[in-house]
Amino acid sequence: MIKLHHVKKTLDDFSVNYDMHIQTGYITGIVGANGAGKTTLMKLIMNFIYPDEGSVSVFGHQPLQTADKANIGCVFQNSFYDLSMSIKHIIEIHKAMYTNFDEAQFHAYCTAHDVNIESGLSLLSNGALAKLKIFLALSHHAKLLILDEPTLGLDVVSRNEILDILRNYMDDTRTIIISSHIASDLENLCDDLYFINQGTIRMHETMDTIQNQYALIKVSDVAYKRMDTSCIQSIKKESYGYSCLTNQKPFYLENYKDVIIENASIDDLLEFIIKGEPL
Amino acid sequence: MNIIINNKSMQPIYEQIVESIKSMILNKQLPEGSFLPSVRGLAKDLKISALTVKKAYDFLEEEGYIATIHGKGSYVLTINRNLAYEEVKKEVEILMEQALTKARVNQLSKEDVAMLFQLVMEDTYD
Repeated sequence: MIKLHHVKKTLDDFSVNYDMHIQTGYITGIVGANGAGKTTLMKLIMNFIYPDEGSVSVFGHQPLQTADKANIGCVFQNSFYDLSMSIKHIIEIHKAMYTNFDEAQFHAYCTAHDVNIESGLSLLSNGALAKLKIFLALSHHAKLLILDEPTLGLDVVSRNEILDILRNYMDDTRTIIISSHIASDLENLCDDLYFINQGTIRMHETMDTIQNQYALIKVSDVAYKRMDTSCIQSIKKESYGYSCLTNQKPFYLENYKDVIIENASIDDLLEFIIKGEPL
Repeated sequence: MNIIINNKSMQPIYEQIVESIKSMILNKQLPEGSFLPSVRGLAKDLKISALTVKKAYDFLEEEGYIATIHGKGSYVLTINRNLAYEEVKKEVEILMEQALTKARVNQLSKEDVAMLFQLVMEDTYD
């Protein structure tokens, strides 16, 4: 679906370096701290900015063709319509922009999730605005959704509502790319995950592998010295000793029955990527 | 389909799914010939990755519990109940061995172990 081949891009004092392959039928999550380069990645895919080196291909075209944009639904953080507009205005704009805009579907989303279609944008809550952005992106049957922090600033109930909408939208012919710095949002949604930091991909794993293979091991200094660390990827010093990240959970579960081993969350992984000492 | 996943458990999620579906097949909650939910559909319900569900279905297929028709989905095969029963018996034997090894290593007396067995037996089989 999307290939970034040795893409390099320098923006003032920030540069990114991406090589990735996003597959059809997958929900791919982009995880990173603020300023890691998530939005830059989305912009490169959308051809809003152009790579200095390498290539980006979307739907097999390189770069993304204007005609293909009809098959994309996107949500970007700080870009939306002027707040003086009403939802009805926006419907007219989308009908003009997308030949396959499905007004009935859009109404159905709004009704099901309590967004008043008669309302002006300025009267909507943050949660309703975020939902509106998503409904607009979903209402022309796009094959590809590009969602940059669609849950930013929302409470847990609204976030989960949005994630459920996305799960329902997904099928084997569709593709979703979603970024979030709230990693737990992605944990129960994504099939594939890219962790990025300072403009580079630091880890790429399927959610299945993360759940089955990665673990957090908490040990005292003494126990740490006795432990086989050949399958430990990175460690962090803690008051009690060390916390260690492994991608060989079964090995440690089998051989170290007396140490504390926990499933590693995406937040744990991100923290180890940013703060851990690689072994 | 009523599967409950424990996200905190050390048992891999695909194994939890395999076990749930197997037991539903064995107790005929999922009768022969019935279709399982689609991979994406079950992933959505359980709020887990579709790849994990796919892995569970592949595993069940390998073990001969289900078959998949491309484009139509996976359905429950006619299983040899005796064989399935023997398989479960084997699994239980292994679990018992583990428990008994722990008892022996910690020098529990045979009498205490037998008593514990009776207690647990009465608790679970009522």
